[in-house]
Amino acid sequence: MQRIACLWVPDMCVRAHLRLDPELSSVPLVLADGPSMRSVIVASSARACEFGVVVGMKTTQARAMCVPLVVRTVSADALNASATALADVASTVSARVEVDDHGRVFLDCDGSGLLWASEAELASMLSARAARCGLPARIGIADSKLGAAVAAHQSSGVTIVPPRQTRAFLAPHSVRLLEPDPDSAATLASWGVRSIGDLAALSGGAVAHRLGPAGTMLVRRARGEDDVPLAARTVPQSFEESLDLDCAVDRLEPLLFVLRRLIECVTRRIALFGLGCREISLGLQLDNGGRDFRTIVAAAPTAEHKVFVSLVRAQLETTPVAAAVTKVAVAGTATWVAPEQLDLLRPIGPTPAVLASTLARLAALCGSDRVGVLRSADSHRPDAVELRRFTGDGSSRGRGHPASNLRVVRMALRAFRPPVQLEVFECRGHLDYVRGSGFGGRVVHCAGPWRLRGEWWTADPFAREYYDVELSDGGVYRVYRDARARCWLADGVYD
Amino acid sequence: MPLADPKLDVFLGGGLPCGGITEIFGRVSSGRTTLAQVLISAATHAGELAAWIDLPNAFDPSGADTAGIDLDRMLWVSPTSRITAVRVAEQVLDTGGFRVVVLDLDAPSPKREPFPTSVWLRMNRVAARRGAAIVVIDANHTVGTFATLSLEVRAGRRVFVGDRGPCPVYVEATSALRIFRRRFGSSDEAVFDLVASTRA
Repeated sequence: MQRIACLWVPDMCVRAHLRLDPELSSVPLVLADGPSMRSVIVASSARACEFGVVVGMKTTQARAMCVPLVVRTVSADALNASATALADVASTVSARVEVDDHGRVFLDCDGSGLLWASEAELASMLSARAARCGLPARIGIADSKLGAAVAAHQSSGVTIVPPRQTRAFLAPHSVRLLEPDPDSAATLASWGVRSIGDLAALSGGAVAHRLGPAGTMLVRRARGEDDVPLAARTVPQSFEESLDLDCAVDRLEPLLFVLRRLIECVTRRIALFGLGCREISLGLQLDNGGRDFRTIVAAAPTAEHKVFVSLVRAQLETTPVAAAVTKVAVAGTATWVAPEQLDLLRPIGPTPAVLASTLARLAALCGSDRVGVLRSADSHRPDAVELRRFTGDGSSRGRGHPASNLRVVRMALRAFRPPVQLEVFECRGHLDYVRGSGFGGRVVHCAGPWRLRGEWWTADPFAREYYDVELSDGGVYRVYRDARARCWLADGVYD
Repeated sequence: MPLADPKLDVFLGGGLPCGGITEIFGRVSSGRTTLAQVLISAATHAGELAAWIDLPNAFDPSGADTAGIDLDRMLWVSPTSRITAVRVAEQVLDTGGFRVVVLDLDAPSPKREPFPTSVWLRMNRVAARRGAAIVVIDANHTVGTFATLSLEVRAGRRVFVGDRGPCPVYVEATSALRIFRRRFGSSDEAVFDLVASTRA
């Protein structure tokens, strides 16, 4: 015997909007079918109902009845995202999940006793996961979809119909719950069939003879049997949330406020599956009709929304949006999170996600070409450097560097980038006086020259004569004569 | 944090002080950068992460690699202004995991405004929270009383071999380290000679 669970969120339309903007939960909220003053209310929160605001009113009428009323335009995207989020919750338990036209989610929970001690425990776990996604769901478990749906609607939290008692549970309810077509409903009314129990008591063959295949289906559903099993649902790889903004946003902080909530929703949905997110796509619809698409990549998959928020902040600070934003969409791709393996012999460093966030902030502050690992480039030029991405992974242990002996250390050089132009005065073939920007003096000691030539096979060869000169100002500089440009330059000072 | 040389550890009073600011100041070519590279080398050699905030954009990776610094474990950031350099240092320290952060402020600038005291107070606080050592390099005694340890570096003997020959070579320089001020403990007159070679 199959067991079906139903997840149902009362006032789904309102909840879908509260999920993206929880600040609205404390105010009377209504959802209208348009932004104009003559639009009609399609859903209202419980607090708005307390003021007498009901569905079908004009927004102007509702505002007159309730001064602190907040009116939002109903968003189909928010509704779809909430229904999908509820389906995601169900998918964490079962592979067979369906969403019906009323936004109810059904899942096959047959065999759940292998994982959970009881169906009540399964239901409370589903309820907790739905609440984590911002959707306070009611849950019903029965032998059929109809039984589970009726149980979910009846309950204030969780209702479980024991196995093989669904028929008895459904019997007192109205036959309209079976949603018969108008002709069948009229026929059943003419027969005096009022409750589901009345219909279930009739012979299936006799009803089918009079109502056709639809009658057979009605009788089976009335007896707590499903004619079609639940279909399998593929676990999504991409999770998307979007929101239409009531007014165009042209400043960073309000935009980040909205984005933070959307990113949090996406990462929470991904975290339901025990996965992380490596990159998120940001779609911004602009006031001038344009669109702005961005991709934010983290250093490592993570389920922490704060990492992505700081990365988004860094990118929006670096390259601001061209115009005010009217709609935002965030999509995250689920990725397996590799467990972090700590090194027994190495101190614990920052997590890759936190490190990536810091690097992004530093890049926004200084420029991406000024943050990373500075290394000598694979070049014949002695001053050529390259910048690599910093990951914090090195292999210092076991390296035979002379750090264990400080009796003599390597003398450091402070590079001049770019090299400083020099005026050099020579006397009898020896360097006598050197003057550059910010330094200069008589040459006290001079070492060299060392001739360096290279890249003669390219269009930009170099030929230099290097000297180490100690000047009377106390500094020891590394200077060279560029044989091609016929000029003197200093490319560093020993320090 | 212990360094590689026991004598230098003793001189500094047990190694590089963590949770505070160590200031290295002196004239150009006195050996400040060499000393800072020794500290970074010891940290990365122990498997720690380090950062070099390079305001003058003067870091020489080739020499640093030869000096024993594991460059893959050293984050290099080149800020564009003095105040940005301090903000970068705070952000790096706030990340956690960076044991030594060198803040090289000795950039030729026409206008060198002093930092407000709140800057050093903040940095001291974040360094104490993270247990990190901040090393500030500058030409002057910039950090002042907020430094846990102030080291004055003076240039000593320079050795040019073959000075009168056809190709003399600059081989060695000695730097005299003196503890200018120590927050905890007395500042004695002892001098530590750090010998640096171009061929080490």
